Amino acid sequence: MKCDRALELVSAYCEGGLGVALSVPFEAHLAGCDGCRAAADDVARLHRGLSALPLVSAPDALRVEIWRRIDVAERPAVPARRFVWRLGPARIAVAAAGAALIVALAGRTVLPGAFRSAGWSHWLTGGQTARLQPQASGVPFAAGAISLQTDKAGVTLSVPVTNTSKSPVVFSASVAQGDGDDAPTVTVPPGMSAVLSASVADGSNATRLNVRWKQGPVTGVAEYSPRR
Amino acid sequence: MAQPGDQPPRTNAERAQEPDDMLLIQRTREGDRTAFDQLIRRHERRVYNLAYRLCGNPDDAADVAADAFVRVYNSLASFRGDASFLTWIYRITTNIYLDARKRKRARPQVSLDELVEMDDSAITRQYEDHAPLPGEVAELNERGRALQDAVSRLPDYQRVMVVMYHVEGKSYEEIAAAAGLPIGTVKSRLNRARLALRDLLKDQMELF
Ligand SMILES: [Zn+2]
Repeated sequence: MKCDRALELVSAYCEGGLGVALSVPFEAHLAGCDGCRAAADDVARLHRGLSALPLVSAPDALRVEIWRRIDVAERPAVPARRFVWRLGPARIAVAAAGAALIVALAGRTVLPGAFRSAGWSHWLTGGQTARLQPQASGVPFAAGAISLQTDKAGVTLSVPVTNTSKSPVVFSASVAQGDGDDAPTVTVPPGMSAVLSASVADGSNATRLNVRWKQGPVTGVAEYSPRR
Repeated sequence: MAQPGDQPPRTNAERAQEPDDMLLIQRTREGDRTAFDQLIRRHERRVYNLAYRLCGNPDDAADVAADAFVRVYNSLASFRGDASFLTWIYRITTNIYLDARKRKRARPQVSLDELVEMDDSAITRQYEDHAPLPGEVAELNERGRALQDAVSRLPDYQRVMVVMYHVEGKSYEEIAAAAGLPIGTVKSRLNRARLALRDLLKDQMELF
């Protein structure tokens, strides 16, 4: 028996599925061939290792995600919305943004948790929330829990923010890879709140919620990123 | 096939109280969503495990597993019960995985997702202290991790067979029937797959 033939038979040998007619010449070959003996030994160990791979647990959110997809598929189509803004108190100050110089980048906050946009499967499913936290010192706002809604058009992430400082803060939110520079802005006066929402179409590659804020010359970004 | 990490076997008394899959399928067809929820609960772990072994990562596995259940839900009308429900959903899961791979190959350009991952290393580091995603706790030992990585590097036609044999616990005959191949071809492909794994793991064989 040659090595090529012996290597063809190693799995059958490990499984005891080699008839007498083949196992005698096979074993005779192994006795005189270190290479094939090592291969047979390794394949036997891999065989056992593969069959002993543990049964991994499904993520808790899998069931929720399955129902979300079933619901989305069953829901009638609605027109796609791009961005949705809902303002809390009715009084909104005039935006003081203009072309002020950006002199500092403050309060880059990275958040635990994940959201899902189609093509990905990061988990922040219906009923679950994640908190935009903690606030770095000097950040002029506090944020509440992030919530997620899905519809036929895609995913909408919403987060309530409250201006905790003494001067207006201009916010924008986007679900995007890039800067989200084209996202609409909203100015929140001191002590006031707004709900920032940003939608993203199902199938998008977007991977994070960016909450940008600007107060006078100071800007910052709070990011809510999927966990990898 | 009993495997380490398997759920404890249900007692006969527990089993007797549970409606079988066919009954739950029937109730789902009649519009009872709780019946389908029971089917999900009963099989999600095995379906996710299969998807995880095929995909090699928790995110894609969850995506494939979720799509598999949705496709099952939408095609329950056509399920005759010739094979078990688990066998059926296993086949659907494997097909969804292969479809997704095909789509990926058709669009070989670097996706935005990957670009983001590249510049997100700083962010990723910040998550190390958090509890891992459920799927990530799967590979507690180095051996399982090494093996899964190597399986993930096999070409699809070998990977699917390895998973059918070693994860689903199918026999050569069953794989041959499912794949529409002669049994000799299945055996030789699996043998070649194991030799390929040995090559891929040649520096880590001491783990086994
Ligand atoms: Zn030899």
